[in-house]
Amino acid sequence: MMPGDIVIDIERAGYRNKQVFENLKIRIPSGKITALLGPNGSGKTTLLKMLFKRIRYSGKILIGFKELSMISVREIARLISYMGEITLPDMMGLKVFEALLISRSSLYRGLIERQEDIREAEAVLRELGIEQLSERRLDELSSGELRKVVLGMALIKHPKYLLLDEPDSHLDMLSKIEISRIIKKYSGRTTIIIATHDPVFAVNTAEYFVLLRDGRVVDEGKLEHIIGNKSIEKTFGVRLKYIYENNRLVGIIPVYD
Amino acid sequence: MSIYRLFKRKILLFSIILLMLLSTLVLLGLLFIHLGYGSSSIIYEYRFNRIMAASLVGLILGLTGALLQSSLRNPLVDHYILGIGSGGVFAVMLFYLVSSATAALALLTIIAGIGGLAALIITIMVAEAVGGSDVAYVLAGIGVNSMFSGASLLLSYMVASKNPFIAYALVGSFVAVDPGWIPLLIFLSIISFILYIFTAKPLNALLIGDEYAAQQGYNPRVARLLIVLLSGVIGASVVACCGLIGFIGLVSPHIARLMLGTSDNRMVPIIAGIVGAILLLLSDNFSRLILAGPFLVSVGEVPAGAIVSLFGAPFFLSIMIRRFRGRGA
Repeated sequence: MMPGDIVIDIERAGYRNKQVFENLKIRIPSGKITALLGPNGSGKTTLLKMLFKRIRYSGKILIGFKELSMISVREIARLISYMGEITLPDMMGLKVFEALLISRSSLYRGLIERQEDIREAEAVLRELGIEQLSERRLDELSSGELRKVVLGMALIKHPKYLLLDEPDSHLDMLSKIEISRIIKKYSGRTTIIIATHDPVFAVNTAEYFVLLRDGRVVDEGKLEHIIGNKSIEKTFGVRLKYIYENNRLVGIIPVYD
Repeated sequence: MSIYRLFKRKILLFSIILLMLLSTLVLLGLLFIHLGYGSSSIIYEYRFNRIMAASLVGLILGLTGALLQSSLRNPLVDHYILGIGSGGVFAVMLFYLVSSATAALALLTIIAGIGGLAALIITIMVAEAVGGSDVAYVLAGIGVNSMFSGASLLLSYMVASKNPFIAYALVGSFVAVDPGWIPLLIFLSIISFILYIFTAKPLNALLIGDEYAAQQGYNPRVARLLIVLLSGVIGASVVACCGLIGFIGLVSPHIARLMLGTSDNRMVPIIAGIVGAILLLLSDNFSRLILAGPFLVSVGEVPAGAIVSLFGAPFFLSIMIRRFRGRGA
């Protein structure tokens, strides 16, 4: 085990009226991008939420040698960023720049952000290439723009662990590629886990794969391993055709039969 | 200079304008408006108490209204719509019915707070039982509000002999304001201000979403429940002073958001409080004038609560329309 790895070894976990996992063992390598790949309802979101204490579990979860239950909520706020879809209530809008500053609010005491936080927000806008969105309201953005902003809200904390729940949902092809490119820039610096049901997005973004179906791990490993085992097929229950370009997997097409 | 700093300067400007408006209203209320009985010190004292009470109640209602809206993520609620105010009025009436003694003002405040808390708990339980959407809260609140308003109206006839001013509690008025309320209202204002300071950051996180708040280090359920209950109880306890005043808690936060151009809870509640103070003071000044005949010799006055409803209700309806247009339904 490398320092910083996430090791999940749980007996059971889930919601009050619905158990999602039983005897789940997963190791997520540090400093890499890991994709949790699986169909809807396979437990991807539940798994991500478990990592910041939103789901009850029995068993062990180690985050860099430290048992999750021993890490305080405050510490988790500094360690982990989780971003799913966000919708603000109507008539209570926020501007992009404000949303970014709010996302840093767990890092400073008192109500007023520091100069440093403003600089960070400007840096994130630059890095994601969305400076022109700074003064726009979140509810006025397109899905693609909003996804980038949400990613920025997650990145601005400089978390050690970045949990992204379907960062590719509701996006057109170009936006998916752009989001993938941004996420890949942070590989090495941050341990990133993305939950997605799009194998094409997953294989073009992640370096390590955990395939989930009905709360069970179908397979985990590097790309060649899961392709060789035909694990994606088993996970989704469909036949797939792979497209290679210069020996690199660039596309996956489901076969309708 | 960054746009953000310019924006902050705008907030400062707004605050100054609002405070100037508030002081103008205070002066007007103190010097000119009300009954042409001359200018004895008793009159000034009476006017002063009224102005203080109306401004402080407005401040409390506006501020706690903003906290209620943000914590429930619901632009349609305040302590009136959720039935909290009616619960407070009902508890006060019930107290007058069973007790013959004239109560200490602080005790009345606590009783109103308890009544409001009971109503709030019923509203929350009903609304959460049907899914907890923003409309569910409004509908549950309307039901609870009607129930307690009806019961209060009934009780008001029974206790009218003990307290001739009790009927004012149903519409909200500052006619019979006792000087003893001022320190109590100042105390409640300070409590709401402290609540605002401590909840601004968690409320911003809650506004974005529960999971977001959780990864920012807040327990969304606990934070929401605490903020809703505390701001609900504070909002309810002021009805012991001036009766049921609706819409201030609803419209002030919206006006504050429109002015600021943001929903950042580090700024909205306090500006909403100042807006609430201005609106209620304006209504009270207006209520003293509206039945004044020539030479400003008043023949009586309209309760401030009625004036607020007169202007507040159309605003509420316009919010409803905007809300559902936005949804495309």
